[in-house]
Amino acid sequence: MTVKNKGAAKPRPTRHGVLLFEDRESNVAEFAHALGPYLGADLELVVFPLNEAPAGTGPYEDQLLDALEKPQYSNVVLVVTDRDLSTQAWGGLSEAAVTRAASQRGLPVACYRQAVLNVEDRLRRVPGDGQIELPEDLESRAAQVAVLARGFVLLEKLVREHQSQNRRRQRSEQSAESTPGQLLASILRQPITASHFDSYACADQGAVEEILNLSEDATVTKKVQRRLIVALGVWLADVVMQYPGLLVDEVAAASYLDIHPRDFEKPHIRTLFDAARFRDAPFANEARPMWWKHLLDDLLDEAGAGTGRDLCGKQGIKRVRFCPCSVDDSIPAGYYCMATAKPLSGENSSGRVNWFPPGAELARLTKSTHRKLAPWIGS
Amino acid sequence: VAFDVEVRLLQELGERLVASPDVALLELVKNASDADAVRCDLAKASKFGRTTLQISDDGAGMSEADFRERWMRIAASSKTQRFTPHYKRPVTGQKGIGRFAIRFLGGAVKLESVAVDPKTGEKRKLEAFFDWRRLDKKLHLRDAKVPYRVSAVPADWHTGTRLTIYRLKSDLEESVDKSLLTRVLEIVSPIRALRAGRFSRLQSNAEHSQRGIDPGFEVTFSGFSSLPEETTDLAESVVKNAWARLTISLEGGRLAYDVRFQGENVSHKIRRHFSNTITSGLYADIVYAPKRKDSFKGVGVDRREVWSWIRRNSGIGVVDNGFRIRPYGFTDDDWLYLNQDAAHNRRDWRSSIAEKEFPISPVEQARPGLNPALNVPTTYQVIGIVNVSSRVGDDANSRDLTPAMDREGFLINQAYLEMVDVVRGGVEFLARVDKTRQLEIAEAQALALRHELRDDLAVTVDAIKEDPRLAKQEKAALVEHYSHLAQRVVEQEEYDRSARQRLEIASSLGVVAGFMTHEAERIFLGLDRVLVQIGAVDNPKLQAAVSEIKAAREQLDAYIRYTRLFIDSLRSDRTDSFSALGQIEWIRDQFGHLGASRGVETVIDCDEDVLVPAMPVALYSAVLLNLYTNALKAVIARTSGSRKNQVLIRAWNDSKSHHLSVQDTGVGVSAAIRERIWDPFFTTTSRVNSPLGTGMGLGLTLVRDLISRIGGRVDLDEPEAGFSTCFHASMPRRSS
Repeated sequence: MTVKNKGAAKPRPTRHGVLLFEDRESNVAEFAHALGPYLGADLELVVFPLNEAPAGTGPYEDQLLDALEKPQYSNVVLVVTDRDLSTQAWGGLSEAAVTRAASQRGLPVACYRQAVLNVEDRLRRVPGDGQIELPEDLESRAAQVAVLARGFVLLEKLVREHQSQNRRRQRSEQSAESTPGQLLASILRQPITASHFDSYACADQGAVEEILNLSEDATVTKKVQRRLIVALGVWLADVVMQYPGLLVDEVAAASYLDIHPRDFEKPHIRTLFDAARFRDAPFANEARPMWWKHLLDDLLDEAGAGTGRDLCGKQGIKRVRFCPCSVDDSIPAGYYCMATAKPLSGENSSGRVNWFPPGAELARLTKSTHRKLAPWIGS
Repeated sequence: VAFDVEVRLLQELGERLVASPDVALLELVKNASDADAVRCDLAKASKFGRTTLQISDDGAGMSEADFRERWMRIAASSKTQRFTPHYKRPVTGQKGIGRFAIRFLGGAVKLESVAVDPKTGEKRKLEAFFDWRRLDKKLHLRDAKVPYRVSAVPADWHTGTRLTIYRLKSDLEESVDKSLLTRVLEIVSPIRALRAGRFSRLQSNAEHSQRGIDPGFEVTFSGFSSLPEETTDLAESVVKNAWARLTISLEGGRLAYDVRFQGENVSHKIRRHFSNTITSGLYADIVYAPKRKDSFKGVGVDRREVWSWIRRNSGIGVVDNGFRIRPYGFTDDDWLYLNQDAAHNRRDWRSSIAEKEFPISPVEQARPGLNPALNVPTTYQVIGIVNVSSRVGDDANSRDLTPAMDREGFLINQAYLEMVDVVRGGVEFLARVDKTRQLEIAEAQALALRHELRDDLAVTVDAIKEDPRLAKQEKAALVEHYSHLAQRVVEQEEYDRSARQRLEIASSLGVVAGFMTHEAERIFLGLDRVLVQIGAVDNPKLQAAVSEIKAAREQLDAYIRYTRLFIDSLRSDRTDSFSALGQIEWIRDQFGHLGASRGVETVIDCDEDVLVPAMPVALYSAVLLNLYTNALKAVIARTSGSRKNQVLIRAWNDSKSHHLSVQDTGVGVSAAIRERIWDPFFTTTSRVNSPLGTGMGLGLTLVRDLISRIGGRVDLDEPEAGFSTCFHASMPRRSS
């Protein structure tokens, strides 16, 4: 593990950096300790010296921008910031200023808060606003930071490869992608999902627009290239992977396949769906696996099974329980509750939630939660 | 190369410059006024079976030189003289093109004018004939010759000009009627009972004129079958006896507002400096005639006639150089935004002067009953005239009041906007003092009633003391009873006064709520850390305390969440319909534990599909929260009895209304306080006698206020069997 502070007059770093903005010394130490096991040989944590007063005068955003140009930050691939940066020598610095400065430098930003986010706040959050929301729990947060940092590095590599392929293709007069969905689907090597990706665009029009405009330009500069990677990454990590529809996590997959979540944890069952795993892709995390929903469908179709439970039966696996709805355990689920992260049935849920992207077919809320909160949070 | 002009220009000027026959006719009437005429006669005659129109005046007439150099020259600079030669009237014609409006009326015109020849001092008559059809045949304007002749006339002939219009436009033959003449009169003779201040002809001209006082200018009609009725007496009655009268004077930078109410000698005044570009300033006389009880009572005229006259003449007009200007103050015009703001219940002042001189306080802003902006009159409640004197100079950059070419209004320039600001400011001043006065009157009436009550009580006590038929003990009991009543009245007065003050102070607490929610999050954060550390200590007593703290923290967090959502929702303008059950469940989830932990059951009776009509969700939630927590407190306060401990919340819709009722099995509301429970700061709980603590006693006041604001009502209703209290709110399903 490497933890750097200031890093003045040191040689250019060789590892990818995670730059932390945190105003409390104790929190820095805690986070560094938690992140340590995940850093490996390719990542390092760099802490921005908020205890040193800024050198110049003027808006914090400009001063941060100048600071981020320094060589010791040249390896940074992800900025992580606390949402409350009110103390120390940079008194009054806000995470918004950090985000704007990072955005100008073409760096993705992930934010965390000390307090647990309430359901209504979580639901009201606009995904894809340029800030990736990190878990409140320290351990999960540290793991997620490492996944994100590596994800952006991998995404950059994939984008470069894709662009070089495109250039070859253009020479052979094949057309390149014309929508953001086509671009991302192509980069992730799942071209069939292009239109499904596009149906997630509404949650993050800004980023999508950016991607559209930039990807049309074949001769992009390094800075623009960075912005393209950030926009694509935020879209994937903070929108597509958060709302089940295109990709599904363990609970959503179990609910969709109608396999009890406990049974779906069993290796001999899970292995049946291995071909649909979201793997070797940016932000893919072995500790929190995800599956491509369309590939799960393909597996069921090939086996002539209506549900994952049927497929288990056809494969000779008996006594697989159905996935019960968290509101009424006598009926099967099929959907996923965004408020409780539990399986949910169509009967006990509401799909008329206008802040979910249309592509998030499995994202639901319980009827009761929806009718209570909808008028307050504008659904 | 010089510009060349085709004859077509005359057609353009004549037929497209003005939009209506009355405006065209008025241009000719104004010319008569500019010729120092005292009388202008409009006559309808018939020649060869065709209708003709004659406009004759007794003015100075036109000499040959005048005709050649002024009448026949388009946009003559001689027209830019400021005042007429004899009576020193402000000149109304300003661009020297108004006379071409004749063409709008008919195909040919004969001009006859008798004037004194300035060279010889003898009288001469000039006759010219304009046949537009013939003139139009020429291409260039310079080739369009108008034949004329000049002849000597006897010295006893009166000077003056007569225009006879032939070949009236076909649609005009029919329309030269009462309505046209009424429109002309409205312009020429603004309501005479209204004062024109220094713009009055008689006053202003007397100061300048060499020939003495201007006898005035009137328009008469002859040959018309029906003439507009003379309503001078009624106009004077209305103006003299209206509710209030506002005068506005702007002279140089000095602005003065005066408002005087009917029957009062003292006027309300504002004097201030107002930088402006209106060279001649303005003077406005505006009467305010709202339909209120006792308005125009005892005036000696039929009140129905009064209201009918007001309806016909309402609006604030603008008189420029003695003539009213369209469209200001006429039907459908709202140049001061009076109707628009009334329709939208505007709660702010519009004029810069009002903002500075008598701003609306936050308390007034929040309470419609106190907000003076909601008291700004509509066009139909005011009759008034704003007198100005515009002048078109040669300065192209002039920012002064400038009439538009089509004679319909002024150019919207700085001076015009200042005029709107000044006049609107005056109307807003009127609204402000009227509102203050209304509130004072209401308060004085209430006070008088209470004094009357106290006096009555004192008289009653004396009468009882003197009554020989009553036994001594009876007297003592009755005297004590009435003395107690008198004491209650005094207490009530004191209570009213202090309650009002406390209400205003209490409203400022809203700011603190915002800070509290933010700080609470920080406390929770610290608390959670400490709880984790204490939780690690193996001590059963500590663990029990931790569990208790955790439960209280969770509950407090729920309140904070509710408060945050509540505050956030106030920023939203959304007023959609929403599920009643959802909100009832939400409130029960957040606050129901207060009762549940003390054995109070909350029962909900509401179908899933009952929708609350469109309103801010915070409003509905606030009503529900107050009624529900009151009910919980009432049940908990009951010390004995065999009844179950229950609160029943019911919501349903019928064809007209949404209904919400909250019933409880608590202590009930005694008859003695049934009316007082709605008063601000009235509370039956205190920190000592209520285990849930006490509120500020504002709950039911707010509930009633909020419900009435959406056109609904809330009452103490008859409870169902087994319950002791029932509050029932009904809200209209369609906005009224």
